[in-house]
Amino acid sequence: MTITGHDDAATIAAAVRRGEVSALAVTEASLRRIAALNPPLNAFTAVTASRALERAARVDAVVAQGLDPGPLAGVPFGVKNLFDVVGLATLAGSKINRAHPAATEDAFLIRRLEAAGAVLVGAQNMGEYAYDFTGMNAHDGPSRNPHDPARMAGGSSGGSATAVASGMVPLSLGSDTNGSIRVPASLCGLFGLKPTYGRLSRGGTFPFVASLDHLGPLARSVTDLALAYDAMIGPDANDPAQTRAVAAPVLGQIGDGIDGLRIMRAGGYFSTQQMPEATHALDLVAHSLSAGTGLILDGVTEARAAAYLITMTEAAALHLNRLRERAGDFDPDVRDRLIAGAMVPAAWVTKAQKFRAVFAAQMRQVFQSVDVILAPATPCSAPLIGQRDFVLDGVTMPLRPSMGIFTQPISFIGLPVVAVPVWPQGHGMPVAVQVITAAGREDLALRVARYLEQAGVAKAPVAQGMTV
Amino acid sequence: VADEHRPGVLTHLQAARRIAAPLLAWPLSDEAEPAPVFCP
Repeated sequence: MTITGHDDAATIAAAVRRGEVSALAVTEASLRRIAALNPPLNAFTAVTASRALERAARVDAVVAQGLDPGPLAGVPFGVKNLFDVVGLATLAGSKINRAHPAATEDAFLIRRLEAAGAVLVGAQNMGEYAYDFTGMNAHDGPSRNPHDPARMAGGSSGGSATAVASGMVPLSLGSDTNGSIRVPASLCGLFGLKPTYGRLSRGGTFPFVASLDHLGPLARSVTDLALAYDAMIGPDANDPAQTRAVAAPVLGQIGDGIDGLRIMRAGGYFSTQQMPEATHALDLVAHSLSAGTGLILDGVTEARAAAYLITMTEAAALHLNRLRERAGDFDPDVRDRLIAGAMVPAAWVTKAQKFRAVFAAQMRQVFQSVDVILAPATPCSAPLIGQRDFVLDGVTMPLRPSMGIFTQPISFIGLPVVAVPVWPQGHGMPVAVQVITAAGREDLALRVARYLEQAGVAKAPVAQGMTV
Repeated sequence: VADEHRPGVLTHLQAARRIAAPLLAWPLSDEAEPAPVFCP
């Protein structure tokens, strides 16, 4: 059997587990694709080839012994470079962190995936300190969108999305504070899972805004999201925000369909400030799911504002000493936002945290009568690299912070979301829809995503011309 | 703040003030509690 860059993680793992292909062959092929495609696309900042080949050989040895190599046997994956990887400095997209000592232990989620048989092949490009929605990086250059390399990959997990959409790897891990998994999933046409806040451990990763930071997978199939999620759940004493509620595996439920689910399309805030392709994508998804309309959520504008303020101030506090000592080594766009964050009045932030509790309580009430809420993931498909503004509802807005206007209010209160990629007819580029559920109900969001995938409404193909 | 950084910082502060305005106008009771960062 031959594995190509088009195969998803589930297909690869099944073939390796049956002994039809070796993990070593799969890993070598992935490394060849990275060698060929990374120079033009800029997805990886470090490739861990020796480690990967050694790990793959160990997976093959387990298979040869007739033992279980794990549900992700031989699956190559990459991680955003804010994850600790043994032997690498944890860059978090920055110039400053390059002087840090190399990590001596892998991040918790890397250890979980490798325990399930997966093979880490490298660390991926990202926006500086994750303060980005574009995929731009002043030090490493932009991650490019495989579907049109003149366009943005989205951020801040831009390299992670580029790597999957180009077929370099079938699976990447990213982080999502305000939308940094969902925005690149939208722009690169991928499935992305932002789990409930506190669900997956952030142990061994460089923070951005601790009270908002989430980690999760990007993939080309819903089954791959579920496989990765199931492999990564589990307690870790190194993440004090991790919920004590035990997470159940979801893979067995994703094929259960949508019968009985109360699905609503969000209106109001979520029906404004978007370009036609985003509206069209939501139309297609809502129609396929026979979603109800007329759900107006109160306080979404305020929720976005509160997330914006908490992000500015918490991130400024994190980087204050670096701003004082090495301001010139920051990306200027990031530096100026962080300095501004250090000057925001404390009363504003306190109000934002109080509103967070109010908004979370309101959404818990909404989920008494609704199971799933649909909303756009981004206001538009991928903008051109270098574009700094766009016009929404007749108002010129700065692109960098505004790509997250639909994702920020949701992560603000930690709800799980699956971004599902849609290809509006005649548009040529993908754009995603958010499938949002109550806290702890990743299973429902993945069920809906799987239904849309099987119906052909959502799909995440490898970009054309990426075959190596 | 270094002189060369001031224009960019000012732009971001003005944006923050504009975005925060509806939040700051939202009525909250004196007893409203901030959201916990984590549950002990």
